Amino acid sequence: MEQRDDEAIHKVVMNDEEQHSIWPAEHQNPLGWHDVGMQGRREECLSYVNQHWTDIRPRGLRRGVDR
Amino acid sequence: MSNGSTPAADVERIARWNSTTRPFRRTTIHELVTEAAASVPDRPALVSGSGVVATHAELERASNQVAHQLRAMGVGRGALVGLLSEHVPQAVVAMLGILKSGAAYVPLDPAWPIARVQSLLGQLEVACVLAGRAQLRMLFEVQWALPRLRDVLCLEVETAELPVEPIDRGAVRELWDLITGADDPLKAAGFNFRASGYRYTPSDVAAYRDRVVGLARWWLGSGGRVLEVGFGSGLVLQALAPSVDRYVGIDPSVGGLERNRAWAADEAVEVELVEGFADEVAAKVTGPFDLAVLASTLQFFPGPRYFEVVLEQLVSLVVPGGAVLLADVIDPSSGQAQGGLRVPPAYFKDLVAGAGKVAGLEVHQRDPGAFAGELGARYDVVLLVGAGGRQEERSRRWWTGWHVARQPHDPPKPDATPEDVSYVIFTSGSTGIPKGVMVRHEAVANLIDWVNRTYEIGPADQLLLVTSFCFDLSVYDIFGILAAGGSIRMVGDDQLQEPDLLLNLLEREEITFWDSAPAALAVVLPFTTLRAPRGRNTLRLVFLSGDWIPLGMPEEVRNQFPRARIVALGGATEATVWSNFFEVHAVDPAWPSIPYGRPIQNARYYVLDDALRMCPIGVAGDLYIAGACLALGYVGDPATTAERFPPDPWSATSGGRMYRTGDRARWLPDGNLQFLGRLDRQVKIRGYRIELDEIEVHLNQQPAVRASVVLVEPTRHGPRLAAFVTSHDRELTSGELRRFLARRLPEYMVPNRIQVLEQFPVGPTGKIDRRALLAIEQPPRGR
Repeated sequence: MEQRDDEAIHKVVMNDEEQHSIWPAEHQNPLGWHDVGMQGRREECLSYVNQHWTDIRPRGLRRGVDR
Repeated sequence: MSNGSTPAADVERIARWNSTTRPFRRTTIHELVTEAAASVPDRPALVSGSGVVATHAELERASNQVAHQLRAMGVGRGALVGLLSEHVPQAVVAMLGILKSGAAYVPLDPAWPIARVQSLLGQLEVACVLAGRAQLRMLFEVQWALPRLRDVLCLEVETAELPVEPIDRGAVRELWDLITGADDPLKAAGFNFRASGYRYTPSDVAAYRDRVVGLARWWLGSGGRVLEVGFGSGLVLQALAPSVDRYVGIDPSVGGLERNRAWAADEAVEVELVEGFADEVAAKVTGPFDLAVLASTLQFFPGPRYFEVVLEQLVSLVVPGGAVLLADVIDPSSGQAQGGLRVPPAYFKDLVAGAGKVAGLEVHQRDPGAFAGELGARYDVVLLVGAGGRQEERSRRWWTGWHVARQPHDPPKPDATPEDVSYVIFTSGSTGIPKGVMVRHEAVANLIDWVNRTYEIGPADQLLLVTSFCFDLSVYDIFGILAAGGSIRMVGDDQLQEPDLLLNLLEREEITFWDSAPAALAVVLPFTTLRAPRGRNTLRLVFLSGDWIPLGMPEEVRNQFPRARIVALGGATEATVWSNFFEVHAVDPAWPSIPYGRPIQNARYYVLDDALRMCPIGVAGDLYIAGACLALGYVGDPATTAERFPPDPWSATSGGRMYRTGDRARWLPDGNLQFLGRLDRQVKIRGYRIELDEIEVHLNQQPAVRASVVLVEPTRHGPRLAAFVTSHDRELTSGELRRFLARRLPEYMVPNRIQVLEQFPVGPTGKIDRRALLAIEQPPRGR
């Protein structure tokens, strides 16, 4: 079975393509990722992502298709 | 990013193993195929048992036409188009046509239960499906529950209208002579013919008859002129005819005709009985009528087009203000009468909206408590006949190869970019809901570039296509080989089940390339030792992926096919088919498994610990994949996408992501990875990726199931699924559960072993003791 610390504090991060992800709060953000201002338990972060990242296509593609 | 306690030398070596950057053409998949066609237009592209089906130039023109047709239907960039087809050449034309239109294709397996196909099409809000001819019935049944699905295109049909399904008149007549000739009146009325299932009593059948007669009487008032199609033994006829002004019946069974003529003479009731099939009614019967009745007849029609033809005739025989009563209609969602014509209520609603002379509709659902057996789940429809003349558009449109043939051959204006989605392939999901993985064109372009360059795939190569379109190996099988100017040998779905036939093809034809999960090759290999080898020098390349490769297999393959290079590959649907490879030469007897190998061009692999730090060489950890091979994510599932695709802290490009495979692995000192199995409960059996939780979720939906555990059980014949269920219902059988699952899941997800228990064994931690479960003795049958 998969071991995972569901209580560890994560933050929601986003890159320039507006792709969202989560990242351990105590870690420095990888290159090109910035905080969106949401921090909490894993499930809380993922539920935030579900509400705020409604179209998972990268920004460039979204613009191209919906032109 | 911290590399934890990993020595700097290790980090450096791993970085070197991961320095796979190599320029490749960032383009669309179809552009690669088009370019190949320009260089080898007259080489075969699609080959079947009857020879070359299409050259590259022909495939190019045919797929251009499909793309033009799709554009004309409003399909283009950003759209998702379903593909529901068996392995027929038109399916490849369809896929290429979809890509050229700018849309992405979504393969659906015709072998899946209808509910799964329906739910996936609904989940993606697919508006257009390209279907094989054999799948038209399935689409007819699902489309009414899918408000977004508007267009269906079948390339295999060459007439403008879908053909009226043929009826075997001799066989149907014989069957109904047999049924209506039964001595038992219930059997003569078509009840209790099956060996198992509910036994209907005379009062059950009377309740059904009274329902139909009641609806007819209620509609007619007193008197009236009635036409009954398919009167059979006369169940409805004998109850209704005495009280109407005129009663005409038509039925193909001579026995039924004689039986009712005798009844009419005895009872001195005037009825006009005509021998004939439903589609002959307008030719054989003269109207007008106030009511046309089809009672429990519809399900015996050969298909929806046949029904439409009959309905048109009935409506023409009924006066404006009259009605057509369709009694005992079977809704596909009931799961009853697979193979029979099942029509959902939504179909009739569309018919009314559509036009023609059907002006209104009453759907009468039944109270399940008032009717026995399957009758409770059926429904009755009254179609009101109007004067006609309204012309509105139906909500569903059907297109065929006839329409496509009228489109131009020239390439459509390019629309999709390399960053666009090219296909969506479903993987099993832990929530019980399958996840659709979106893969971009350029990720596939990278893969094709790598395979075709590394293994010098060219116009002389021919690949035997043995994999379902729903499995992403088929993505290379189709577009990779075509992009090399090579050809695909197509084999029908029924023949794919015959390993000796596949061996024939390998020996007798010009097949150079085999690509499958190990299990698919494992069923062919035993046949090689049963016959003298001949023509085993053509096969030059064997790709194996998707599951553990038995250690003895490479040697076995080379013994039989001496020229074959054997390549083991790995990866994930989320990282575009394959992203690591290992060419298997001599197998070291000390190996615990065939090494997983190294990343392909522009792919990187990381072995990380729980805190996302690199593990030292030799230390097991979670396997992550990064690079140009990554998928965009899961359709409509941002949370899972965010969770499975975290930021890549080692990426040289800004904002890079990686994919958490859920596999365990470690680096070997020689720079190869060793695969150590699945981390979670996602397993692979016979090459299929299965989430055990998904099966449990479905089992738990069975009302009698209290709890369930699905495990993988090792057996002499390889791993298999075993399900354990606790239930309060002592009558619950494994057979019932198996049928329940079979209606909801693909065949490969239905456990071989299903066992009903009173209680689960519990281990020292208080959790279910899974090992003890597998040790429970299996009863020979039943519970």
